[in-house]
Amino acid sequence: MLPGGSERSDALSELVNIGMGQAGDSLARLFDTFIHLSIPRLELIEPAQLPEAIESLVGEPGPIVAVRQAFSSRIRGEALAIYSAAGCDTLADLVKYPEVDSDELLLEISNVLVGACVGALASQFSLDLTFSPPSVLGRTTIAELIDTRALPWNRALMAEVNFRIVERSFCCHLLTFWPDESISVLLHAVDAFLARL
Amino acid sequence: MATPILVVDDSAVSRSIVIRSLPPGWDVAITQASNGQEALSALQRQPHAVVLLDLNMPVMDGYQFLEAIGQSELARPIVIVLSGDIQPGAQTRVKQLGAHAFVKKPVRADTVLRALQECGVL
Repeated sequence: MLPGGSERSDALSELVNIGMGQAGDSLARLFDTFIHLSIPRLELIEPAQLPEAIESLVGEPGPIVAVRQAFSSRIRGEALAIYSAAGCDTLADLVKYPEVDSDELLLEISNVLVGACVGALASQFSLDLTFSPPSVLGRTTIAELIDTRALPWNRALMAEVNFRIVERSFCCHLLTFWPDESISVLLHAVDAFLARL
Repeated sequence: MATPILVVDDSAVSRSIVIRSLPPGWDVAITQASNGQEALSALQRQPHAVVLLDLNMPVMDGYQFLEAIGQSELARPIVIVLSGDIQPGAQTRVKQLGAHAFVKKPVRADTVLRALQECGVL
């Protein structure tokens, strides 16, 4: 639950939902297949809780591949796209471009998902975001992925959505983190959005 | 007589946006449901002329709701899907399941009006 009640969570979820729909549309067109979309989940989180929270959301005991991308303007944050290593292996078949390097493909997909999801929120709130180049954090586990000491925040709002291709065991969990002072900027924008309704 | 409309969405904010997007001056009696299951119960209690249906919902989603009314003995309402999931496959699937129109979220008064006109409701 966000500070200030369920209406804020509800509004933010709905906006995330619209962004996710746009991202899902891009992915469906790229792969020419149906993408199952999750229901967005929002959570306020501290660094120490992060490994456990991600493990329970992702539910992926095996090796994973992650792509990380930061964004900033009046607000800053970070997106983490998490794929199971097994699911990544099916990607090359899906796009039918054997000559494309699988890391390049992951970067491209992650870029599309982050751009659409975060971009939809940013445009709703008139935030002019700058994205850092995405980087691939190779085959690893969730525990190894998150070095809690290195996280540059004390508290963050985490939004999780996932994109699934059921018949190909492909799944991407997209986590976005809006840390510390960005939470209040985001909530202020949500309040302005609600006031316009 | 007021046209009975059922608005189905798990987000209260989204239901409120949908209700405000309906044509001004249109005499409607609105019932709200937060998932497909609640929507089915509402239809069992009272027939509705139009259902404005979200797709991505917990408990029973929009696809399951469309399947359920297709298999039921209930009077068939006009179903207009209002969805954040806008991929081509979603639009095809709901049409196959009997939905009459598809409106992309974020909903706007003009796209809702056009869908209502396309379905012959207005």
